[in-house]
Amino acid sequence: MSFAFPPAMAVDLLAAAVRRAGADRAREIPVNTRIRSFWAAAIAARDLGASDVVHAEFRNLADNTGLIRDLGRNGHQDVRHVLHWALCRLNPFDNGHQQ
Amino acid sequence: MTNTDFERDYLRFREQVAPTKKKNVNGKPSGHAASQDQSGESAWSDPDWSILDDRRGELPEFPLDVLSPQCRDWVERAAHGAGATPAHVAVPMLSIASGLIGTSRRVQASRSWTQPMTFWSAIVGFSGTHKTPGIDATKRALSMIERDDRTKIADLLRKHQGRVEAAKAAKALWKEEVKKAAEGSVVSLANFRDVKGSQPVMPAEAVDPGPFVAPRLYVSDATIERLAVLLQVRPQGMLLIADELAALFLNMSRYSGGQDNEFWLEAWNGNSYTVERMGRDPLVLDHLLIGVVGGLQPDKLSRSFKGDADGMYARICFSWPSEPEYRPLTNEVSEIEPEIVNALRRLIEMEGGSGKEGEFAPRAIPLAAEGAESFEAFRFEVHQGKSAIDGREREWWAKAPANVLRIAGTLTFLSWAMAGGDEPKEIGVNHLDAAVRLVSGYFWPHSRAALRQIGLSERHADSRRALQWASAMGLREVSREQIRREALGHRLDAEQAEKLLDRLTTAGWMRKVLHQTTGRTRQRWEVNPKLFGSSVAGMAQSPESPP
Repeated sequence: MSFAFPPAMAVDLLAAAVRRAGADRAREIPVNTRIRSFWAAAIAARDLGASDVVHAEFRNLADNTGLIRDLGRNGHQDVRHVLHWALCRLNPFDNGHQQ
Repeated sequence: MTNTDFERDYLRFREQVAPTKKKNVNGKPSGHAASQDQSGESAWSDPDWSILDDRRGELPEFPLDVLSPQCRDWVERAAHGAGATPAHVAVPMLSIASGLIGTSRRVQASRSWTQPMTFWSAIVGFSGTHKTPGIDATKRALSMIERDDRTKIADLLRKHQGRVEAAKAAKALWKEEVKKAAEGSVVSLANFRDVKGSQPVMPAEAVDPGPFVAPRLYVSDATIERLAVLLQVRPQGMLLIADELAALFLNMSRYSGGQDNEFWLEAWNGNSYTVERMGRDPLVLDHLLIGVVGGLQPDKLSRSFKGDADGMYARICFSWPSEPEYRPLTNEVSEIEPEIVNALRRLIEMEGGSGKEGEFAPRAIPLAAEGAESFEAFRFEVHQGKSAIDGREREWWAKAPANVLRIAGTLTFLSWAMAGGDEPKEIGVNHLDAAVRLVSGYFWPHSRAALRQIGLSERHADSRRALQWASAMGLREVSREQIRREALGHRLDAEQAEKLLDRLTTAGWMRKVLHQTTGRTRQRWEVNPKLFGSSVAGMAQSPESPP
């Protein structure tokens, strides 16, 4: 007897969302635009998994695509801050208005 | 959510924070992406539809074939009579049946692991979605049984009064004997109590049996102390059935600083527990087991389990049925059907075993050999699956094997109670497999949808409520005070209501307008006309009232 766990759709959707977000991470795009696109992808994907799983996946994406490195010395903190606000459905680029 | 939904949301959010420069018809770059309608009047930009999304998603229907034919037949008829879906009736019925069996029978998965039958359930749904009629289909049968048992309770009361008087008489005799023993021989004062006062020893029959407690099958609201007293006369366990469970979970931390939390966590386990009481002897319970059955509104899920790090939600089998379709009333089913009354009574009258001193002792019911293999396979899947999930979902999934055992036992005994015959001696593979299907194929996806609501912010819930209210009232323009008083029932102050309207403006659902009058300028907010064409119309809830 096989059990439908975990539902395949939910796992694939998050992976697909991360792949799609990664497509806009080209190094020649200005880093300000890249961090904003990164936030948009994270907030759009916030329901595709448990919040800590989504957080981990997007942090890995930021690392793998060089976003953290390009943000400079505080890159890790900036990405953590943007991800946290995205998962709380807040916009850190617009005085914290809820989305 | 689908890939398409993600793509749409991603592009929308990206446009908000990193808009792409577009050229207008004159070749010059344009600013905001507001479109122009044919009349030339500035139209509304596309609003944030996710606020209105109830986040339920597509969920499976209740698998009625896990029930025995007699059970299924009653559930379908009762659902028709209640104007609800079969799930609205079946889930509370199973949970109530499990609570009535309680720990009188325990499912034995191995020599070292048994589980009582009681499992907790909650029907999730907005107000007016037939949660209460579904629960009442079984609750009315219980109330009828309690009413019918009044004669029995009167007999118990008379017997208790007899024991009280006998105890008084025995105590009076014993006092006389102590007095006689004290006469005659002389001892020092220091030794008097030890030598004379303890002879003869007070007999057990002289101990006051205490006040009479009428046995109850269920309560809708009770203090922990009262529940502990009731459990002393019904040691196999009892039930708490509430139309709105949010009140129970919210009050846990409100009045006792979280101490009630510990009681309720243990009430699922069914182990021994001591209830401390101010100024009186503590109450020792051999089996603290209370079934929890009721309804929960999605907007209250977040507040009900806010800050709950102990995983109360992990113990609940959530069911979020779809709204029932319209069906004409029927005279083919009565308010209380005899087969459910008879079945519940059979479960209630199952006696536990007797311990060495005649006290209540649960009886273990083992899994049949094939059932044990099937259960072991499920346990392995659960273990493997845990690594793929985290947080609240992981906590819920970790309790799945325990819930499977409890539900398998309940299905076995409910099937017997409906059909009659000899009491089951083991849990068969068919009921074990049915329980696995119910937990992994039904309660798991429904509970995941409910657990996602727990992470939802209160501000999102308030935004949604305000929009639903405006849609139901058909208001094209609203004021801050209308939102504060009528939509949200005074839950927010003026400043918070203003901020909520600002958020709805940012989300594209409202637009501030100023009306100049002879006096001061009036602030109003226009409502996006797209709200009135959406499926949310008609889903307004009553204003927020304290749980």
